Amino acid sequence: STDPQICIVGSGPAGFGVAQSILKHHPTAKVDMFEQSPVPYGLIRRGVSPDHQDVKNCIHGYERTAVLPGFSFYGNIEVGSALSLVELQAAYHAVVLCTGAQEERKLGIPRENLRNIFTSLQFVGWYNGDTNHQDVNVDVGGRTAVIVGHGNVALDCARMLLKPTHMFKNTDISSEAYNKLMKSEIKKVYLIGRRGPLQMACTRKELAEITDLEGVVTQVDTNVFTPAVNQAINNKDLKRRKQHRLVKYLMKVANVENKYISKEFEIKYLRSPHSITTNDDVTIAGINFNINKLEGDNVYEPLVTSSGELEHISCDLLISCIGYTNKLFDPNIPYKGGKMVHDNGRIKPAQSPGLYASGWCRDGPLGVLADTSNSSTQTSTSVLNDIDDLITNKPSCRGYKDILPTLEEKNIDVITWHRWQTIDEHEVNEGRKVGKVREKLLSEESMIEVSK
Amino acid sequence: MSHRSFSVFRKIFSEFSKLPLRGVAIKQQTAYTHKSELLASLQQVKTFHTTPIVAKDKITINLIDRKGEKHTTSANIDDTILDVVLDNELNFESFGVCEGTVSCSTCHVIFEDGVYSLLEEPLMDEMDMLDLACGLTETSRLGCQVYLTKEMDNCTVTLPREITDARDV
Ligand SMILES: Cc1cc2nc3c(=O)[nH]c(=O)nc-3n(C[C@H](O)[C@H](O)[C@H](O)COP(=O)(O)OP(=O)(O)OC[C@H]3O[C@@H](n4cnc5c(N)ncnc54)[C@H](O)[C@@H]3O)c2cc1C
Ligand code: FES
Repeated sequence: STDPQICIVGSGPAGFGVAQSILKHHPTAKVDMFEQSPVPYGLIRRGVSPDHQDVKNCIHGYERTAVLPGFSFYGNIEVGSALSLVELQAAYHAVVLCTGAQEERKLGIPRENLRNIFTSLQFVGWYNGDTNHQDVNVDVGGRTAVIVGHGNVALDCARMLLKPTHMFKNTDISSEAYNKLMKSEIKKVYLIGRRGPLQMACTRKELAEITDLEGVVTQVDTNVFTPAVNQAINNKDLKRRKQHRLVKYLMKVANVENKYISKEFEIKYLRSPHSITTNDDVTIAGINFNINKLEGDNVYEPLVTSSGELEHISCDLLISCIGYTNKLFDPNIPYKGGKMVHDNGRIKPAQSPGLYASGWCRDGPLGVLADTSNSSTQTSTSVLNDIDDLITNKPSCRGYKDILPTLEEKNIDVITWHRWQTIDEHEVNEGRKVGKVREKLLSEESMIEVSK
Repeated sequence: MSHRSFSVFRKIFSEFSKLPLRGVAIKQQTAYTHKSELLASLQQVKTFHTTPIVAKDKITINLIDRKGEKHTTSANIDDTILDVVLDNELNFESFGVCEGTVSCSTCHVIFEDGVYSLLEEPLMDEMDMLDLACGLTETSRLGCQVYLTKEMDNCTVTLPREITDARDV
């Protein structure tokens, strides 16, 4: 009988999660992973904050998967341009999309293209050494930064500006960002959201990583802690536990007197971005917000209405952290509400059996690693259940052998796992010289060069 | 020393001491043609353990995996549930992804009521990660933070079933 030929597109946690469980349950399967970047791990490398190194321990598990005999990594291959989905589906019994959701979301307000305004994709990419975002010119010479968004990514960005930069010294932060942040003059960071405290998407842990910082005072307008909010947080409800703990903590740390204040962290609610202001048509001077009201009986899912009033907040730097969107990977893949339509990871319509998806590209850019792992377990179970039928239906699939001619014809410099290990070793060695866990290469060209 | 402070001490000990931790097995290698080949083979045998090598008393525990299958094993008192899973190479689907550093919640397990009430209260970092655990229950804990005691002999610990329940970042 034929061994299963399985192709995974994307090498983030979703891709490695699927590879791991397929190879565990089907040791003779051949799993090929295609990644557009020369380097693997998706957001673990490019998203997770440099001061969250423990989160990156998941990489050890991925490394153990990558050296299994059935596994191959092919980096520097973008599916959709270098290879088409149709070509992959012809060559493999099953194709699993694990491409993440890395399209930026802009605020969509006037003058958003002025200087020193960034999306989280750009700002996070910049400090994390993402090769796509090294051209952003972040100016931290001003005093005030506004961060729009109340999720964990917003808090990652705020922490980067509030936490003493030397505390990032030994991490894998890009040196260029580190050197610039060392000279930061930012003294005040606003974290501004559209709704109230019970709607904050962040976790208590992420918030505490800022409020626990010495010399940082946390300011909150306590009017947002309405009687309804106060009542809600004392209800015992496991599904709301995260929100309740967060708001209780906020109440505790809000406006605590602080003798020695070096930086201010102000959390604002009920504000929707309206327009950017400028004094010279070049650089941001501030941002106008619509002031909102929360209405309705549901304290968790209130109706947001605009009061019609505006508030102006002066700032020198603006980072919008309002999430990411899914790139429409293929016009034939059905989406609904920002998520792929699927049945336990199987992509419908069923005219293309053997197409699957997992992780952020399937479920939208929500949740943490644990959620992505779950998604992968589910999808790989479906693949394993279907695989015998798929082999029967497409007995002639030869996997990588079938697409090699296309790659050769297009002259694509494929980065194998072996070549990635060379890059990895190089980065770790360069880091060691300066006492960092890793010094990331900042361009795809240099990665390819080093791997030769 | 209370049990918890002992475990905290032990964590610090295992982090800073250069002594090899149990479970770290480096096989004798044959000649390698390339450095990274050696690296790869080392990675294959590299595992980790959150507690140092000490001879310990044993109990029996039952672990129910994500597919509902029961695994009965003998386990050392004072080891964590994560240690038990690793030592017995139970290889549970995406379990203990952050290697016991309380940063992922993938080691989420569910206890029986009676045993749950015997456990020491979770610390703040465990509470924080439990907030994010998928399928949280009243008797949920993180497997990397719960140390086995004599009283837990013959207990049953259940991994949450495969589910997807993604929330806002
Ligand atoms: C800023 C930030 C910080 C985060 N911090 C944490 C944290 O501290 N803890 C935590 O648990 N979670 C964190 N998360 C969430 C976590 O990163 C996600 O849950 C997880 O990365 C999603 O995995 P994924 O594989 O679906 O997507 P990704 O990690 O985005 O991986 C997708 C991969 O697919 C590749 N790809 C895309 N398109 C193509 C194509 N056409 N061809 C080939 N390859 C392609 C991409 O290059 C990428 O490598 C964070 C997320 C962000 C954005
Ligand atoms: S192993 Fe990650 S929290 Fe326990």
